[in-house]
Amino acid sequence: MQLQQLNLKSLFRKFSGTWLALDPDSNKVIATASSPKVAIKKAQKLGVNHPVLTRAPKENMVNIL
Amino acid sequence: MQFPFKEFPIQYTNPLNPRKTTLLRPVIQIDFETKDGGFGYLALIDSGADYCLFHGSIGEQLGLDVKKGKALAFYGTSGKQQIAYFHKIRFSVAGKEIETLVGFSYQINELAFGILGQEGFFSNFKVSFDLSKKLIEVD
Repeated sequence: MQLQQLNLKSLFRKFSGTWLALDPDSNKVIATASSPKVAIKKAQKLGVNHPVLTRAPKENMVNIL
Repeated sequence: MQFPFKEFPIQYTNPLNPRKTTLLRPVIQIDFETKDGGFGYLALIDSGADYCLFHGSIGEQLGLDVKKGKALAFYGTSGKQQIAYFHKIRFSVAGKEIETLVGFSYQINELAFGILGQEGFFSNFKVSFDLSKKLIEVD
């Protein structure tokens, strides 16, 4: 299932510096953790079998990569 | 398959446009299957990247001994050297599974996403961008 969340603005500001596990069905953050491993475990315990991971950076900078 | 551009926050102090608080980036979801279950991961389509590059902790979640991979020094725009450890892995994009060498780095924690570069991503997919429609086509 593809994540449909298009605007990560509020999530990144609220959870900066952590890994986020998103539920692709509801497009909501269902777990946060310092590592992907813990975020996924938390998501699985809540019944989300295929969470989508992203890392909210500490600072939201302009990127030129 | 079409993917929408995703919106990311930027700092309020951006002097180029102080009223602009978000930017659109061509970030898509890729998917992994592991013995501990599957998960998605957001990654930036970056034609300026020579290889694909993912967070080191994602490599750990894939069951890799990350630092046992082939080490390669790489450089971004700052000229500061960073190290990635390359492993051959499988992941899916738009339902198509590929196997390719991917670098894993512990020095990219300030990136919100992995990087999909020339070798491994552009070598396997035809990609087009339409920012005016906020759509990316990956075939």
